[in-house]
Amino acid sequence: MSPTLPPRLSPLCPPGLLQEVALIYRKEARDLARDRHTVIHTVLLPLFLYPALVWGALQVVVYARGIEERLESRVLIAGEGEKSGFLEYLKARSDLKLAPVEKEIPAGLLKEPEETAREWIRGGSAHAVLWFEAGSPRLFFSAARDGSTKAKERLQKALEEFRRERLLAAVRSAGKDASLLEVVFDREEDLASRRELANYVAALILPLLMVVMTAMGALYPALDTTVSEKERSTLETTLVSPARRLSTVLGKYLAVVSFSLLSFFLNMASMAFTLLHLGDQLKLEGFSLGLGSALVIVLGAILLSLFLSAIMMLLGFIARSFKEGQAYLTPVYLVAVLPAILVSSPDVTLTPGLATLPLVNICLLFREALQGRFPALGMGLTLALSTAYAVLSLDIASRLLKREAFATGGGLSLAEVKAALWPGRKGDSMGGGELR
Amino acid sequence: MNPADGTLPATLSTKLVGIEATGLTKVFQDRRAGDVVAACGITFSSFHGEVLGLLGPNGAGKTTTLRMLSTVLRPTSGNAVIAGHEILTDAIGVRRSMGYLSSSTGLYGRLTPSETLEYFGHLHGLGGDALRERVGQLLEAFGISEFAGVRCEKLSTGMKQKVSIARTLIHDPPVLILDEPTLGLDILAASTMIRFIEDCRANGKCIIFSTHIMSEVERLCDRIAIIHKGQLCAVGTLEELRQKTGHHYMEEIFMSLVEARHSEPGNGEQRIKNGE
Repeated sequence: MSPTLPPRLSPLCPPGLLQEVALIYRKEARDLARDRHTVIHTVLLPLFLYPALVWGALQVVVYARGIEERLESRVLIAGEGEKSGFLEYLKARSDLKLAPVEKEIPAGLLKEPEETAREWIRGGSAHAVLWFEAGSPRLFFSAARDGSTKAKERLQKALEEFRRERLLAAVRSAGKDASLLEVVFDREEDLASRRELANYVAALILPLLMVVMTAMGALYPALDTTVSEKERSTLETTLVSPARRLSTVLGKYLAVVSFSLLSFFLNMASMAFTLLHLGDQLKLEGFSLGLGSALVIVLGAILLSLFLSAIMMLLGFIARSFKEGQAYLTPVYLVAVLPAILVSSPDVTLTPGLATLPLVNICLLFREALQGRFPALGMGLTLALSTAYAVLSLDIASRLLKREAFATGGGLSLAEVKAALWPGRKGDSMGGGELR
Repeated sequence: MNPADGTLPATLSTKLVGIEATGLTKVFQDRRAGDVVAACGITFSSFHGEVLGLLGPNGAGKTTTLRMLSTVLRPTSGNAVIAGHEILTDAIGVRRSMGYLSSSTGLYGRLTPSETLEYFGHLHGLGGDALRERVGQLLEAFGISEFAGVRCEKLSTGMKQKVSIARTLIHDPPVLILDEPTLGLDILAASTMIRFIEDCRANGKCIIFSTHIMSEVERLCDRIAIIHKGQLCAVGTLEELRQKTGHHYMEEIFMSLVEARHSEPGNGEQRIKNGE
């Protein structure tokens, strides 16, 4: 059956730039919301990862700690040196099981201390060996074995307590006042409030998680809106639409940023839920954020998302296939995580110098805000430079979209990228022109 | 326009020009092969109320020519005017005035036909009741109302092609550029497509129809442009081409023109080495 065409339309009023951007954004967002990969990585993973991960990790830690606490450290006692009552003190402890060497090894077969200790610890017969010689006793253990390290810690603790008791007894028997010694040993006070401590711990961990989730939220949408269009043969459909190239890039970009931010906020919600229910076990039960800190974190998230989305889309435009796009974007993901790891050192702060480094500055901004600190110069520089980096990346992405090699479905060569960055150079006159 | 002397046949001189291409040339740079001339000096005119068939084998330069007309590619030299808009200076005006369909203009798989048409309608400046009415009319006209809410990725090839055609018509463009629109379609779907093109011609649209299927050309095209190795060999009605070559059937006409062009000195060389 032949279609009967509908009647002619009256002249149309084309949309302006902003309307076009809004139209393309709506279409891209709807398209992405129906993509399984995007939903898994942007919505489900941030939402359920933390409760599942933290709960699972805590169960493992509690179980491992229980085993460790129940474990009895087996210590081989050897040597002929003066034991000064220390051996008797050790025997009274329930967490240590002492095995005098003469009971285990006939006197004629006893080797050198190190060799004997190595054989016993490696063979699993003892966790540690305490060898009494003239002067101080020698302690042998293996740092490569958890049980041995635990035995060493227990012996060190026992020795410390033994010394303290002996010291107190000596002072008292000499008729001196021992209160000074007791004050030194007993009265330690931590001035950090529970909130400060919790926020300090959170400031070391959370920036990394924030960067990871924001990057994960941008990854699939960035690939889907760029290189996937080539694979699905919809790129030409997009390019022959009457939309301006700039509107196309901006609409796609805003969709990627939205999904990246969605991932961030879902991640935050999930984290808040986890802290609320498991915070006490994580030493984060006093964690709280002021309004100022929350606003700075939201601002940081927006900057981070703007920057990562622009970089990822830029690489997505260059890639020839989804697989190649993934190969380009995975290193970006890893590189994005590195600054977050670097700034987890407690001594690093948001100085003007560090505020010039992309990603590092935003990670530090998160950390300062989590601890309730607001260094004005560092924050101002971070805001200005991160915005500039994002605009620059977006401008390059926009120029790449105009390259013919992209329009014809191929990947962009280095020469094409150079021509996009520096138009009008030699070699750009034929074949590799710009579209409008 | 006659590529030989630049004049129009008397019968066409009073018709309204939809597409006017002048010396369209496209050279691609290739590191290994040097500069590859995909289209060289393509000059023709196409009028409202006619179907101009662009006939040529695979790799002849049809798609490159049509991509230049649709502003997806920028000509290395030459220009074209489509519905009064120059491709070099008013690309958006060109895209607003034409509907472009090719094997590479796929549908957004996760959108429904209805959403697809609404999206392109909005981009072309339609909105509100006018858009809803237009979408409804097109869905009805192409028999896809039943599938209006199904994602395009789940539709059959023929149904997808109908949605694509509806997409090209959403803004009622005066010019249609159709690059091998029957490729991959079964007989029924291809036949529907042919009749759709006939209807568009009856509605006064200017249509360029690219194909390498001779029977479609004979049945549908008012005039035929034969392209081979990036060069336009001849433009004319079927009767004019018969007279020119002395052959009756399209295959024979095509072979005759291509061989004649190939034997001319300086022709048939599509690749020009850099700097030569």
